[in-house]
Amino acid sequence: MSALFVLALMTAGAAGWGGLILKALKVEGAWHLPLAFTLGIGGLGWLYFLPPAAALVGWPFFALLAAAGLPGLWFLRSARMDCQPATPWTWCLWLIGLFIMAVDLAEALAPPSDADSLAYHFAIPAQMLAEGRLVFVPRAADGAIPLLQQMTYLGALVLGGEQALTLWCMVSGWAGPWLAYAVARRWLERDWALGLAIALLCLPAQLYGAGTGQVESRMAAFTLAAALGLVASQAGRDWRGAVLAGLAAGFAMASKYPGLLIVFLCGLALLAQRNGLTKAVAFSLAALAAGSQWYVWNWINTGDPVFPMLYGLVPYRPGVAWDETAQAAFRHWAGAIEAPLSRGLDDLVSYPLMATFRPHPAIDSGRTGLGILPLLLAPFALAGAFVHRRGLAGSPLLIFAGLVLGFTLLWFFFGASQRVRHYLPVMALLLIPMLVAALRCGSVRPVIAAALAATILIQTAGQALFLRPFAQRILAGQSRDDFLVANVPLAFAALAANRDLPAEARLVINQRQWLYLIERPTWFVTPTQQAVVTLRRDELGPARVLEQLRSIGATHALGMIGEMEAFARLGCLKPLTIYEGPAPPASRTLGPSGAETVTVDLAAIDYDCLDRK
Amino acid sequence: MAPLPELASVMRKRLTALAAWAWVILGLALYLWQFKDIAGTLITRWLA
Repeated sequence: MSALFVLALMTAGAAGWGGLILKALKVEGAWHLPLAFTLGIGGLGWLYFLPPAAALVGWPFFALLAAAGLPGLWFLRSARMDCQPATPWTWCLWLIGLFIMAVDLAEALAPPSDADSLAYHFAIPAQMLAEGRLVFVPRAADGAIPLLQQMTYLGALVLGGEQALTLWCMVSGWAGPWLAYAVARRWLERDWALGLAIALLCLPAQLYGAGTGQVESRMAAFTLAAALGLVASQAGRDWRGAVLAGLAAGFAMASKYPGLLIVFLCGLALLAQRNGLTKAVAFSLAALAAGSQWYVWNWINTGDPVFPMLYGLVPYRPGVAWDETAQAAFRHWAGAIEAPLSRGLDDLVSYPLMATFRPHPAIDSGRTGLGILPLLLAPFALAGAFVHRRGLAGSPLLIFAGLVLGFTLLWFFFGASQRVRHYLPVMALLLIPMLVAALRCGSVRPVIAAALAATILIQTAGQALFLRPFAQRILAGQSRDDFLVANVPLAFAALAANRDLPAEARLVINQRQWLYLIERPTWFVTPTQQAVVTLRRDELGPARVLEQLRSIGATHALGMIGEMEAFARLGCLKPLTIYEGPAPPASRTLGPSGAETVTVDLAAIDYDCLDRK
Repeated sequence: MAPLPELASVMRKRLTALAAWAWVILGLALYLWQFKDIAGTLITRWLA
């Protein structure tokens, strides 16, 4: 099917499914359409679990599930357009918004090049498609994880191939800012709401992740939808708002482990409402229905629903390749790479300043941060909230602020990763109340307008820089392979291996971005995230490692001779060829740094090597 | 000449506005400072 048709089908199907959910819950509001689309993304991801679970990965199943949502579009027909007259500022903002969306389109037209997407967001759906069934990847942190959003990627991949996949990421990535605009309109005039939505749309973390397979931007939309459910629940006496919150929070929980924090916080917020217990029960049931499938899947495969976080606390199933050594290596790696900074109370206060002005390299803030707007608005928002403190009680904005505060504390002190982009799911919930409060702070509107405009201009300039490789691809007419070689570290070796290896080859590799690119079954032998093949444990001896390699059916090793030196000396690795290509670019955005080249070896595994000794 | 309370009010408003502008300008300048290396790289490449 053509990629554009698939995009239209999945987008309309998602909106339709969302329309059905909203109709069932009798939810009304100006944010009807973006809320329906957001819920529909989650609904589609939930439904797309079923075909691979039944080993039915043919396109008709995915097409039917998307098409089944289309009747729900009927319930969205009353969605109103924003009728406030346009001002010159409206047109300016629209122009900037269109530019940002054009950059997103240029990215979506290019092959995927983001490392995490190539390693698992897209690689796992591609593996499921190749094997025709639901696949459990026994890799901590990026394999055995909640995969709701990745199931929508699987649907796009099955229906329309890689192009449909990247286009779907683009459109679904817009859901969060779109919903934020609709929600902000309740309190703000159109230009302010539009400015806020555009500031969110070009936020570095959104720009970095929304067009790729990264889940945070779509999770931000789910989180905002969950907050709207809390608001609806507070306004009504029955359970419907709680169910809406439960579904949306469940989708967040099925997107990534930090979604569990959203579920916990929403549950607490509901308990604090009138008829809280009934609402909390309805919420919990909805969240479990929407979000538990991947936890059950993990539990079925390992015995640990949040593998490997409960290692030592719950019994693991026999045969699960994980032990004390693997756990210790994983903990050490996760601590050193994902959360290297201290977590005291003073760090909590200094973190926003550090992340904004002088970011630690480990938190990826310069390139994928959250911009300057929250800090610029902070004093005005605090002053505005103080001046209008009497009107705060019962305000939905207080619910938003409470969720943000709770998420901040839990994420800061207990979150697995300190990368600042993991805070993206609550950014809209943070910025909406901040801007509303700041605009109520006396006569500083021109200053706030200047702050918002400067933020948008700076972020749009960043977007223009980000455009470089994608524009170059279009202007120079680069092929898929040329683009990948220029923008993905060591992609040349994966593409060459695709040409040279027999169809039945199975590889072991040590570069995770090759997982999507290599068109053969491939095993990433990371020493810290999996324990199925343990090359670096000398005490096991070569015979045991050969047994491990045999268990996964490995026939070849790409770029592994250095890593498997002892093996190579024993004659267990037979060098076949050496590929030469450009050294990894210093920065994907800034492009290649020089003309250096590197080499990657391809070797065949000889299982008889020890017998001959 | 304006009466003293009115003058104080005007002064307070002006000082508030001044502080607000200073906060925003300083914040933007500090934020942009971290990208000086990237800007330097780009300018060097363009000049080359």
